[in-house]
Amino acid sequence: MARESNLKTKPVLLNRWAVRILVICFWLLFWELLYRLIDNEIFMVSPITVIQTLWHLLGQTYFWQAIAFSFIRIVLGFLLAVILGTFLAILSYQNWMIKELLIPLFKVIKATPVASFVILALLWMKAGNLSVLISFLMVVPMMYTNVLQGLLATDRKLLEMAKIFCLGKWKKVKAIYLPAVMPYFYSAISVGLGFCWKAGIAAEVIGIPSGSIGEWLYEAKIYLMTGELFAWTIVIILISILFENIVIHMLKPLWFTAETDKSKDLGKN
Amino acid sequence: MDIRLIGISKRYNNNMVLNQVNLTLKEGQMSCIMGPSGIGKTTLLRILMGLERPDSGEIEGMEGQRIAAVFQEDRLIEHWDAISNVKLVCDKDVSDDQIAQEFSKVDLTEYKDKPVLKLSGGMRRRVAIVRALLSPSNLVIMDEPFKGLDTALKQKVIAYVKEKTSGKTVICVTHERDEAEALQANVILLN
Repeated sequence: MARESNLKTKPVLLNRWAVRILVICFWLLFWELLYRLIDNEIFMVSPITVIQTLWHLLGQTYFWQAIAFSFIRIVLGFLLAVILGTFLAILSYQNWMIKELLIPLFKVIKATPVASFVILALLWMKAGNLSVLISFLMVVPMMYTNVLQGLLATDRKLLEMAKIFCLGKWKKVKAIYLPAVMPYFYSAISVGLGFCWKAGIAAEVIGIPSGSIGEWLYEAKIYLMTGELFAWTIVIILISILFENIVIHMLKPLWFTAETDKSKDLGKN
Repeated sequence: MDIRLIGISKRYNNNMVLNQVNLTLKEGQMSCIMGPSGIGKTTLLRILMGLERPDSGEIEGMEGQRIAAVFQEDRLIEHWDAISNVKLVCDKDVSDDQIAQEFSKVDLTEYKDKPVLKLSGGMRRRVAIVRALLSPSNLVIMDEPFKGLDTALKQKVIAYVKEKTSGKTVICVTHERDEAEALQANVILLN
C-alpha cells in the first residue's frame, strides 16, 4: 500500500515543480517583453543584463562585504526584536498594568513611518547601526502583539487542569502554553523576517551607511545603473527568502515539541 | 479529615445557583452528588477545587488535600498521546510500562500511543480517568466520569475506579443512580 501511495504522490510533486518552473519562465518572458516594449535601458533592463550584472557582482569583494554588513545588522535587529517582543508579551500577560503601559508605545511604533524613524535615528546615532534599530523597531511590535495574542488564546480549561494537578512551570509551558503560542509566534516570525529586510534596506538607502547594500542601491540609482539596481534587489529578495527558510527550519524542533511529546521526558522535570 | 461545606452560596448575575449548601464528605469514603441539571453540582465541585469562590459560606478540611480531577470535559492535551497525557500529572518514578498496564485495565492498550484527538469520546474519557487516578492525590473529584461509556465498559471502569480510589476521599457527580450504587457511594441529593 505504501509503495502504491508513493507512486501516486511522485507525479504530483513532479507536476508541482514543473508548474513552478513554467510560472518562473512566464514572468521572465513577461519581463523581457516589457523591456523590449519600453526599449529604454534607464527605465527597464532585460533579465539577461541583470543575470550578467549579478554574475559580475558575485566575483567582487565589495559585494560580499556589503551583504555581510547589512545581514549582520538587520539580523541582529530582528533577533533583538524577537527576544524583547516575546519577553514583553510574557510580562504583559502576567501583569495587566505592564500591558496597559505598553499598548500606546507599540501603537505609536506601528503607526510611525520608517522614514521618520530613520531621520530621527540619524540625529541620535551613527548611520552604520541604523539598520539594527530600524529592523528592531519594525519587528518588535509584531512579535509583541502576536505572542501576547497567543498567550491570551491559551485554553483556560487546560490551565485549570494544570492548577488542580499542581503542574510545574516547565510542564505548563510545554503542554499548554507552547502549543497555544507557537502558531502566533511562527506567523510573527514569518511576516517579521520579510519586514525587517524591507525596512532595514530602506533605512540604509536613506542613511547611506558606508559599505552597506543600501549604499550600493543608492549609488545605482544616482548613476542610473538600472542593471545593478535590479541585481541588488534580487540579492535582497534571495537573502530574505533564504534567511526565512533557515529560521523556519530551525524553529521546526520547537514546533514539533509543542505539537507532540515524543521526548517523553516530562516526568523527569 | 472530613471535608465540611458550610452555608455555601453562589450566584451568577441574578441567578442563584447554590443557596446555603451544607454537606460533609467523610474522609476515605466515596460520595455521589446527584440532582437535576442546572442545580449547581458542577459549580459545587469547582468551589471545592478552588476554581470558584463562593459568595458566602466556608469549606473546612481542605488543608493539605492533594486533588485529582476528572472534569466534565476531558481537558487532555490534544496532540499528545494517551501515555504522555497521563505521565504529565504523575510522579517522576511512574514509568510508561506502568501506565500502559493501567490502560490495559480499561481496554485502552492499543490506543496508548495515539494522539488523544484521534480517540473516540469514550476512549478520551477513560484516559482522563486513568490520569486522575494515577496522579498523586488524597481527594478525587469526578464530574460525570462515566458519560459516554457503554454498559459493559462502564462496569469495568467503575471497578477500576473503586480499586484505585480505595482509602481516598472521592466525590463524584452523576445523574445515574445505578452508577452510585455500583460505586457503593454515599448519595447526596442536591435539590
